[in-house]
Amino acid sequence: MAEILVCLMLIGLIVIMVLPSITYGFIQLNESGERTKAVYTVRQAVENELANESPGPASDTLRITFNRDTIAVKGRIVETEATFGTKGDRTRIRVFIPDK
Amino acid sequence: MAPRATGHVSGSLFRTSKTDGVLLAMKREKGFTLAELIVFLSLLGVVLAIGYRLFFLGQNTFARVSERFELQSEMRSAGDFLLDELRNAVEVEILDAPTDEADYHYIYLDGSRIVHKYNGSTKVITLPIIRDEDLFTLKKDSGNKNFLGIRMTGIRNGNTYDLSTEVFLKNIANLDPDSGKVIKYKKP
Repeated sequence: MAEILVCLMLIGLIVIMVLPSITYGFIQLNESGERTKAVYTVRQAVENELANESPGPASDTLRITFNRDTIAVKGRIVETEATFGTKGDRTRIRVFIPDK
Repeated sequence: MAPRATGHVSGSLFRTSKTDGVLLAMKREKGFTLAELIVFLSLLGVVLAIGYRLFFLGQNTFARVSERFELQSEMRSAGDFLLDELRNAVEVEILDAPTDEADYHYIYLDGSRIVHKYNGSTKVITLPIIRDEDLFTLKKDSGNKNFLGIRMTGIRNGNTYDLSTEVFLKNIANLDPDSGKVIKYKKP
């Protein structure tokens, strides 16, 4: 009797261990889909920021170096983020918008 | 008269020792009882049944994941394509049906595929997975700037995935709001 109980317990353990590995891929893919949606939402916010006629002061400078020449571009860094999924994960986009 | 015991005794002794030997040998032999065998077979049945279910569960899950992956990646690449194409457009118009005007690009819903048409040649952008509804929504903000809303819903074998975003049409302004399944545009 004891052997049977041990055997059934082992089978149960194996099933419990194997089941998550089967569903893990599906859960991850679902989360990746939610992340994509969040990225598109954030991109939408960046588009709105790009269209903004009266942005804040240009407080940031982007320096681009070509060989020995450095060009300094005044502008601002905009950061937008969105949450997704059930665990409250976040996706963030950081863009530099030069002065018009 | 002497009893004929010798033969009987010797014969009986001979037979007894042989039978006992076999019995002893059988007792010493390792093996299983019928009850043990039945328990073993039932446990084997349980294990095989669980294994069978797990195998098919894994296979079904894999198939569903593949389908969902295909759906999501189609939608994402279509979204990227639309954003890249339309962001720098210098002319945009939403139509009821595509026409054949030279030098104009058209993106529209053909059945359940998104198709791109330019100068008579067409390119299929997605698999036939897109729900038949308005893809494009032209919006105008208070400063008369135009945004193009894109909304797609993909359906494939019971999986549904919707993606929506907006792009700022930086070279266009003052267009009236509209929505539809066909967009005509010109690139710079």
